[in-house]
Amino acid sequence: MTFDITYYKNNVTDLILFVPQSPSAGLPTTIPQNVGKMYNKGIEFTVNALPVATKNFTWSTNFNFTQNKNEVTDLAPGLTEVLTASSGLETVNRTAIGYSLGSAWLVRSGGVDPATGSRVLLNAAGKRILYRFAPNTGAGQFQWSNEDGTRYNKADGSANTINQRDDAVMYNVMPKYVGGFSNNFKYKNFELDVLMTYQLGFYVYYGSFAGLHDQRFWNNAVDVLTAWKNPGDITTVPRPVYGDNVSNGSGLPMDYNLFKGDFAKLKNLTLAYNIPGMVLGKLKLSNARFFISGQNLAIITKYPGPDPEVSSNGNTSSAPGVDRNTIANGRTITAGVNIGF
Amino acid sequence: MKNKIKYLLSLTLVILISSCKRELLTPIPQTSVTDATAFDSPDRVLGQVRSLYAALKNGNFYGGRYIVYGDIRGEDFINETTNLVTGSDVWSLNCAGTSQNSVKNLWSQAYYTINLCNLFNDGMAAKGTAVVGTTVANNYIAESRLIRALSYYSLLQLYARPFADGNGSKPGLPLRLTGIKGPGFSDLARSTVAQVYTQIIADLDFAEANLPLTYTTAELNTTRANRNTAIALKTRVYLTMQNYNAVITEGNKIASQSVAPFKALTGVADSLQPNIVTVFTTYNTTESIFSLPMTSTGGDNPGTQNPLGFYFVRNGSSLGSAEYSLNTAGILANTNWSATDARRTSLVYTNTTTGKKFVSKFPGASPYTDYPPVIRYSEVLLNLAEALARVNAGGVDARALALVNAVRKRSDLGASVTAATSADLVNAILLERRIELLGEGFRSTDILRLLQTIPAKGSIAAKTPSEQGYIWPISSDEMSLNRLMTDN
Repeated sequence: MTFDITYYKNNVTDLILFVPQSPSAGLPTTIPQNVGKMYNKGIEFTVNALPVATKNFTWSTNFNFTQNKNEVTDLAPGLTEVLTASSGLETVNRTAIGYSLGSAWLVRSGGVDPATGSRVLLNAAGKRILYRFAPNTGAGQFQWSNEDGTRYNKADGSANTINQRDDAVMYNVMPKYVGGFSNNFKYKNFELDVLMTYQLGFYVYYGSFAGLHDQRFWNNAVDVLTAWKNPGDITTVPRPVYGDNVSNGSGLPMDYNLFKGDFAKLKNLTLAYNIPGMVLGKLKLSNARFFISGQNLAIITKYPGPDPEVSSNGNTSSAPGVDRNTIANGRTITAGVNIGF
Repeated sequence: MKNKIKYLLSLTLVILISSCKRELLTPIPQTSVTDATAFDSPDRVLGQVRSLYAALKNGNFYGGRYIVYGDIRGEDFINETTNLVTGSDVWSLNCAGTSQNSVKNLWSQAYYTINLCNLFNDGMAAKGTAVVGTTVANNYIAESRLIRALSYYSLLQLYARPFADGNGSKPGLPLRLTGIKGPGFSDLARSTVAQVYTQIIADLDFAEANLPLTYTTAELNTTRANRNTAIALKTRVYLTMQNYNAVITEGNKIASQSVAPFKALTGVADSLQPNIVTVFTTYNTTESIFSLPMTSTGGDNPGTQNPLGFYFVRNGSSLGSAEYSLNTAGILANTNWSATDARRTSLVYTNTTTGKKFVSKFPGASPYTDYPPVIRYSEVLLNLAEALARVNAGGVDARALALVNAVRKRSDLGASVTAATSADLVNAILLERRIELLGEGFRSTDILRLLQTIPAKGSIAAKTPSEQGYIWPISSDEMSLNRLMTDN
């Protein structure tokens, strides 16, 4: 049995970053510069063990656990943030000093107002503001109103809105804890490999969930049947208004679509049979092995989407943790024979 | 052995010496033109001029979306596809500053165009003028300044309060007038609306004084700026500023007659075509004062999901995406637009399956090579007519009436515009603009310049001038990267 504990702190400096300039400077491309600092620090812990080792049966196991903290400590001079849009649509990810790379940047939802069925959003101060997609201007209704129905105003008395710039907060989308638990069992000529992985302590922005509640005549989730209908209704789905793409988060990314991504997965399971040496000699083979294996067979998670371990933005390092119209990691089952001469 | 060592040493020396050569760190590319050599020959300078037009006619800007947005913010169109990529947020009047396809892309492309113009002007001063000679240089710089003026004017229509709100005292745009080649110039505060307009007028005045009167072909007269282009654009700019006397001064330069037919007497002989349909099939007539040429060559057309034809029409099943149909409660329902008007009979298409109607001014198939119109002579006549009607507030201005009727009767011989009072006449001219310029990007500015409420349409409520969404927010990229920027 062996233990291995590592503490690491990896400072990353002088990254070659394509530093964005303000669009009004009119430059056609961003210019690479040596800028930016961030660090990754944490503890890695690994146990290797051989709990059982007899003539016919062995069990070897490995468990590892990594705690990681990522924080951006500097960007280019004069640069306070880098915003990254998902697939050219809404901007969810924001990289800023003091936060982990590509944090989700969302306004806070306060549920649905029982009296009017409007989406409630919280401003920076935590005040509840009601959103109405199609206000009837003649009847003293406002797109953005206070809970008492009066217009939501700026300090100077002009109309105000809830928006990311003024009201959004940052959510961590990088797992704090990751690791795996791998086991290998051998009984006579049979072999069983089981690999489980887990990631904990992070959020996933479930953009498809916004799409599933979008009122632009899109396919909706079944829970739209519980939408607000009458004053007093307590529900999670706002009053449906044709064309409304804001109350659900498509037009204004909000934490209503943010979910904890914690999961444990049965990543890989392989069962194999190795033909014994005696038989191999007769067949003039050096080895032969039958196996059946499966990937992504099971998952334990409270995440409502298909799979928390996906990214709509591929390997874009500044845009992790967004699941917008992305398919889950595939469940595959493979059977095969390996023969060596 | 000794010799071998010598050879090795000298070889090492050679390597060391050559690696010290500084120019190898910044080699001059053999396959592309650098900023140091871009103004070395007359051909290269002319290539730079063409690149300015190419930037202006990008599908994210004047080659497509700028015109589309001008129309769909108004009440005459209904969104059919509810697609954020094709402006459903623009139509709904609730764009976010983070909206990539509308707010951010248009801002970037317009400023890219402006910076190209600035770089061109700087390059001409440094070298180009000596290469092509002063007269040609001033022609070119005039074209560059006209494109810059048009870009700033376009940005003002979307991202700043109308001039009428506080007489231009509200925040305008960051006014960038020198070329930027590298990092370090992100921060610049907004000038006021009036200051930006002052620069636009200065650029157009310079353009008027220095542009050629005509070019050698009708195609070039339409696709490159000539003197009358600058004058025509000034009628539009002054009208937007409500400086009606200046509109009359400029308009009289190219439509001096008191009765029809109206015609420019100097420079390109701008005039109305006998049939409006001609303007949208033959792109280089004298009515098209300035249009943006498109071809089927890749990159020389508006591209995916940008062309006017893609947004506005579906002729059968294969052309266009028919993103926006005509609102049956909009201008289509107005009885002053008669059923026999050529603009209704020939430029509106009815989908016989759905019964929906579409603007069919831009009927080409993919890749949509219809020339987007920037300014037509009929607009100049309507600009001048409106200014005359407003200045002569005491009665019905006869020349204004003649001007608006020149436009009306070209398409509808039977139905003259009539008016009993000056206010009637102004309203009739505004109505004629909606009919004549439908699908050419004018409705939003025509509402905003008068500080009117944007009327309701479909599921979208009306928007009063004091509400959020009356103008666009500023691009979120600009907000995060330009520390002196303020949002709307």
